[in-house]
Amino acid sequence: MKFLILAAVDLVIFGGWIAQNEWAQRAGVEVILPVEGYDPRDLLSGHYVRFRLVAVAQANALGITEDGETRFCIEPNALGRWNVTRVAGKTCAKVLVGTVKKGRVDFGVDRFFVDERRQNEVVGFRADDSTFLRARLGSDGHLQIVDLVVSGRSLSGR
Amino acid sequence: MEHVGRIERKLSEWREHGLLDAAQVARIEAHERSKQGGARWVVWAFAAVGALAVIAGIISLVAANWDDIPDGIKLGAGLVLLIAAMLGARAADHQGHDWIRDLALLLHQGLVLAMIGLVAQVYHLSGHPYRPFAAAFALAIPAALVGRRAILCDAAIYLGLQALWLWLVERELMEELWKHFRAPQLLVAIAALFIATAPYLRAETWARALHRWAFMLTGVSLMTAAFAWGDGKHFWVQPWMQPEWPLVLMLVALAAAGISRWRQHRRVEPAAFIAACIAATFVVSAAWVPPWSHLPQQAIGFAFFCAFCVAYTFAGAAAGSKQAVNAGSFALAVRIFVLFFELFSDLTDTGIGLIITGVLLVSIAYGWWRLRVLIPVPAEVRQ
Repeated sequence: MKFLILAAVDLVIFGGWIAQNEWAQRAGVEVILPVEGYDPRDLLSGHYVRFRLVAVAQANALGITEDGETRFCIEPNALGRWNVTRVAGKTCAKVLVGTVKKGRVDFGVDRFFVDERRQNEVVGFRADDSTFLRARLGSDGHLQIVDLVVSGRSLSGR
Repeated sequence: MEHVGRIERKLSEWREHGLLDAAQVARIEAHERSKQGGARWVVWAFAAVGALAVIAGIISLVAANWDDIPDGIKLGAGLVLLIAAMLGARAADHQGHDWIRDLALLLHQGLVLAMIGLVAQVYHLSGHPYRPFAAAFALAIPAALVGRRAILCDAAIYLGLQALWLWLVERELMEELWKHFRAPQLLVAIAALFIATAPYLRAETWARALHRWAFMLTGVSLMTAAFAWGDGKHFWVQPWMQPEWPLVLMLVALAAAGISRWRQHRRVEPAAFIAACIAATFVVSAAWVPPWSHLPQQAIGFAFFCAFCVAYTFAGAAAGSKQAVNAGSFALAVRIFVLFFELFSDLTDTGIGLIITGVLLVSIAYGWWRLRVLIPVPAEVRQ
């Protein structure tokens, strides 16, 4: 019986986690976030591309000094790219939640896992206007990555 | 066959000396013959290598086509493997195959971490590295409780310690911990906690695993202390590191070992006591009397390291742990190699020094072996 309980615990924990991520990828609003830099990395056998959102620099520029969770207002510009404009107030339509630590903001998304062959394809590209992150912004203000587009090329192939 | 023949010769010799009677000799011979089966081991070896090759091949094929496998299949397969490992453990438990059950549980402990990595990869999740290890630790505890092998507890303890280490790194506490050599002190404190907790645990496997980890953590801390202190400002030791703390750790360990020995035997051997006093005086004067003399510090640090390694090896042998004996011997060998690179400026001198040392060690080993063969065993040991 104890083995069956443990198997059920596995199913609940991991099944629930997968379901939560699937739901987050389908729910919410799709946002296009500009990326200002990326760095192909190799983490043991898994390959991932590390990137930095322009939104992070925009949020850092607001000069928040108090550590902890902070809500930022995020709005699209004329090209459909979403930017952090100010600390969220009552008039903010879409909110992005970040964690501030020692004056630096972290939105919890900074890497995109890619296949080894695709990773080699993106080495040498430079971030430009056609390099951005496609993500879903949930009602809780957290981002769920959908795709990373580098110089117009989708890394997920979707 | 050769092995049995050698034993038969020894048995007849012992029988002639009256150490064994005919019935004992017959039983030992029957036991050794039952273990023979040389061909069976060859078959097992071929089968094991073949199975490993097949598994490695499947893993390589999957890895090569990883990106072409849909995410749903990856996640589904991971989840099925995880649950299959637990159900496999259940089936083996029902059939009374303890080893297979515990192997399946060990596989499950590893698969939990792999599954966390897989979900993070598919959904591009990033976050604090200590979290997957903490989650894997939490899920490894029930597996260790339903299994009966201590290796399951070892795996759980490893995951817990790894999570703690990564948490300290993430909180930027590691530099502070190294500054006053508190990291090894923390390890010793954890070891003390393990030893204090072990007697209160009903599960013997957990108690044994905690003792083993306490033994290992203490050994690693003391050897690190001896190495760091002896090495002074070289190698990886940071200039801001306070040299007194490794020394304090070593002296406390010496005192603890002395007290432990005294508690066991209710007496202190005079020669050992005098040697300890001389050593302590030498260490204290070298450490605190200015100006600092680097060479004695290096030499004393090296001596401490070797002494701890030897003590660790002997303690491991006394506890019947082959792994501890191997670890202690290996650490000693590595330290001797490093010493040569510290002492000599060029590779030629280092090479000559290593060859001389190697020949010396082999000679000592050969001499030791010859002496054990030639010198008769004393009567009191025989009893």
